[in-house]
Amino acid sequence: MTKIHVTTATALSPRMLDEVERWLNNRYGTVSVQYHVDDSLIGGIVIFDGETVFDGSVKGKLKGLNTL
Amino acid sequence: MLGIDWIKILIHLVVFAVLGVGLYFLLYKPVLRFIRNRQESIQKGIDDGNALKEEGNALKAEYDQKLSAIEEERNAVIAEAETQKQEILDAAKESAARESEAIKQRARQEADAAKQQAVQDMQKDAGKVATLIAGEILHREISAEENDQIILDCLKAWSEND
Repeated sequence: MTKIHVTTATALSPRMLDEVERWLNNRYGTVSVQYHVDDSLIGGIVIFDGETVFDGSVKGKLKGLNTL
Repeated sequence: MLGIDWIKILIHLVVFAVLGVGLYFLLYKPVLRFIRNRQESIQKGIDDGNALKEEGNALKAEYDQKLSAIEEERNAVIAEAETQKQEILDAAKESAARESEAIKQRARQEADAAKQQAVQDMQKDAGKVATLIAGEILHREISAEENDQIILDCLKAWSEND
């Protein structure tokens, strides 16, 4: 079973929890998910599956602008 | 007559003649020979002296020539040394000028590189500050609905990229 870490700036609403879990099940199958809150992300979501980081946070996007 | 004794006169004349001849052979000729020998000796001395003088002049001329040649050689050596000294000085000046120019060039390049680096650092810092400010603004401005939409957009984009 894949262990997934999901980090968001604020706690996910029940609707969003469903959306995220549906996406994770489509991609990985059965998963074990740990949810984290980090307000430095400002907004968006960061998913880490043990190998790959999916950074959809506002902070990450601003960092990307900075490196241009 | 006058009382002249011609025989006595004749005898005197004969004695005088004999004396004369005797003196000629005993005195005049030796003295003459002696004088001639003396003259020849003196002349020989004069001639030897002239010959020595000639020889001395020739030697002097020869030494003068040698001295002149040495003087010329000395002047040529001095001129050559002067030329070489000037060439060495010119080469040293040229080398110093080239080195000075190279140092200036390096200094200019280093200054340009430092300036570019300073500009890049300032741009990065400005970017960081702008990012911080943007982050603060967004932190205050993003609503819950907007945040949810951002998350949904990310999930959709990641699915499409697979």
